[in-house]
Amino acid sequence: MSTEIRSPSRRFAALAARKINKDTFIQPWPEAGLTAMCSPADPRPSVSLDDDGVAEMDGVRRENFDFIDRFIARYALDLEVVEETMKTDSLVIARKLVDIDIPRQEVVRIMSGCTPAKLVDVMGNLNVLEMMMALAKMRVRRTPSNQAHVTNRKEHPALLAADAAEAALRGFSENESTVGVARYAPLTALAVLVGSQIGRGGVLTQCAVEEAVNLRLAIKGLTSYSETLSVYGTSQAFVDGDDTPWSKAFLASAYASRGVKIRFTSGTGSEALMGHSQGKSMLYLEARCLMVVKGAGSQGVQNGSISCIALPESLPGGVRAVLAENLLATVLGLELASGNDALASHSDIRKSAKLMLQFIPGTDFITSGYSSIPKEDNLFGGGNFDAEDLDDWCVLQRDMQVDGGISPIRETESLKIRARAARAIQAVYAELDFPPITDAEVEAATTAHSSNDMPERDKVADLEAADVFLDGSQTALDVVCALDNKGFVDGAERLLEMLRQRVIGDYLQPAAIFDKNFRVRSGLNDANDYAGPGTGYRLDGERWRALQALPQTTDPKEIISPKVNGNKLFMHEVGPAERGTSPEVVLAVGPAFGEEITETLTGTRHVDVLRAILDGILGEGLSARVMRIYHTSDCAFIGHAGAKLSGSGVAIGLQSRGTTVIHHRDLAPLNNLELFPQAPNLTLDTYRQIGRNAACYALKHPVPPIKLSVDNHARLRLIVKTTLMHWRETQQIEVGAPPIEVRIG
Amino acid sequence: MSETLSKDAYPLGENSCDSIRGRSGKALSDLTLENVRAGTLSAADFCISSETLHRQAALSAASGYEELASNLRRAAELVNVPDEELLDIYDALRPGRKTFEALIDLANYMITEYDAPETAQLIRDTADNYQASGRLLASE
Repeated sequence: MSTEIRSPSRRFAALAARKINKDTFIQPWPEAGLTAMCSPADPRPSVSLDDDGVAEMDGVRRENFDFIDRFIARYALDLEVVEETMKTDSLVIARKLVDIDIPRQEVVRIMSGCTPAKLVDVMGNLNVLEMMMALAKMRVRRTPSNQAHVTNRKEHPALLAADAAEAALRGFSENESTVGVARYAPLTALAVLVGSQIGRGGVLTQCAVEEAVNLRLAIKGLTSYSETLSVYGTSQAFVDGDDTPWSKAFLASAYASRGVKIRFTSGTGSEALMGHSQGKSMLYLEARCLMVVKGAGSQGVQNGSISCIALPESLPGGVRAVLAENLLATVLGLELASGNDALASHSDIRKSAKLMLQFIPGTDFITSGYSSIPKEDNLFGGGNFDAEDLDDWCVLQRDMQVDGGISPIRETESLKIRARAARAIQAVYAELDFPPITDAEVEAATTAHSSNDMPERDKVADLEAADVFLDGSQTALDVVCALDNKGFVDGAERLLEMLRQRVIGDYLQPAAIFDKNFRVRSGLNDANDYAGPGTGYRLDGERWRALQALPQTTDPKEIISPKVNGNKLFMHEVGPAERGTSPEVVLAVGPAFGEEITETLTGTRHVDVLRAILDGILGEGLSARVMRIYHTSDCAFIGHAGAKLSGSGVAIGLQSRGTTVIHHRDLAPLNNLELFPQAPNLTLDTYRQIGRNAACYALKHPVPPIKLSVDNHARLRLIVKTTLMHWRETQQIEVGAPPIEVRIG
Repeated sequence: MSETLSKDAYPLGENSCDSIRGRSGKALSDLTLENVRAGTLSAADFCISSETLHRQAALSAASGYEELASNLRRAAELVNVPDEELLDIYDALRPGRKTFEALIDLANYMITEYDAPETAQLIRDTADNYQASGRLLASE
């Protein structure tokens, strides 16, 4: 459709072709629910109490409450503080959120007296930077972490186990899976459970499926948490989801009664998408959701628009609203898994920029599902950040000294853990009498990137086994036995420990995760205590060293190793250089040239560079003298020192890394006739032309400046090597030493 | 049942592991790989007990997480409800599934059968609010 009208401007045509312009941008339309933070239909904050509790809230009298209002008034609003909070100016409360001298607990106390409209009103006073500061203070757990998505299009158990193990090794605290074909659920949950525990003990796992099956998987011990409990901000959207706040509250208790962690799911845009926004802003409806989540007794929530993210992002201020909803979860004391999971934009710039809003402050789970597998294998609909982006993520952590919850790993570690996980699930399948996993499948899973690398399985047989497993009496305890019988004792012990932990229930507390030794870390024993610089979570010590140690890091000392070889002996020093009297071009080289350093930045041999330049000079019928400059390593001064001794006044200055200048003695040292500042753009042919042009200047023949092809990435690629070569050349400086004439042999 | 516990009691797995028992009465210290090998454990031994959930609820409350504490207290009441029945109750509480009377009966049943007063209160509340917002089944 964009081809209908071609832009007459080539600039605009180029912009139109950019990825960002595949995204959709719309003007707000409040009646359709398409406004991010402020709709004319949003109520003003208000509350009044009587003997029966809340008589009026946000402009609605009790007799007109819908069931969400009723639930919030009954379970979420703290009647002890509501009057104090509601009479406090929202700006004053907003300032408390970013005031480092007001502790998190005090903010939570005040915010527990906010009605939904008041929550939105407070957020309206904060810009994104202030929201980020508040998020750093208000998240529940001191230590940030991350969650992975582990799925594949073939629903291959060996690949699921291998990918889960790798995700666990990379440090994800939770691994979430789901299925393409619903009946696979028990086998998928099993493979992710086994793989995760082989990868690292203590990783929480889940398999998102229909609620009843979900609960059955948890009861069998195949999953340890669930975040499928969706809530909505209007009653009609809720009912379309076949639930109410009361049924969800009961479900939350049902999971907890089986020792299973839960978090609810909400997020801006879902009501508009379902056609039931009632003309309210996305953030106002999300505020209602979050109060339902709190009132239902969920320890936490995943929000940040989740699968609807492209909808708020189509609107002005949409990304700010999404950050606001994250922040709202934390001020209500809820664990926060902060979105960044579903594909949000075609533009990598836009995706990364949005990520920073959660990445820099840190949240309990920075993504509520980092796609640790390739996009085509992501059964959640494709990740915002995928397996291919893992190194980018690790570099961002290293750049900013920020813990984004993903550890860099080495290929050898990956192969080892993937092989072990694939063999473990192979063993479990054999012991439980499921359709066998072959050695070839184990090997494929070990080295696979995606399910394209996996052989096909007999899907009918797998699904029959899945049905039998779900309906039968076998549980995770049988999986422990299977692992133990086949010699995977560590896996058996870790899986057993996961089962023991559900008897203990410590991980039912807010924002709980386990470390590799099954030490629980939650809002109770790792409470966020950020109170400004020098407090809260700091990335330092062993963890910082681990996040720095990217496999692609090199030792700078090895970037330029000493070049001692046959090329070294082609220059013979004959003594201090005299000032020339006849027409000539001087070629002045840097102090390390041909000795300490024998190649340019791009690996061209110095001897060849020298020959090319001399060829160029001699080709114009002029003579040349070579001299080495010892008192400086700077290209301009090398050239100028040569020019002062040149019979014609023209000299070429040449640094060891290859940077070149054509100079004249009558020019200021930092001026020049021609400068070639980027050595990587110079070829032997260019050096020959440099010699020819210098000769022309000496002969006063008119000559056009040399045209260069420019590689824009050369500096980016070679700046470290450039620095190191220049450092080595500078080491060779001898202060006060005169230029020495050199004979080429 | 309400218990007060110091925040320092958390994590129970580190500080009170000797006193933790599963729903079946088996001590946490007996839940070992040796006993799995010996065949003396069943899946039922790995269920959380009502008592432990009450202790976790007390810990939540001690740190200011009152709503979570209420949830965990309801959970403590539900440990003995069989799995299938748990799903049936959830289904009954979904919108438009039951009449007012049926929900009140369910609440009473939760008290007589499972001694679950907080859950019963939630169900009564559900009945009242579904009545007020028109989310009940018209007639059975």
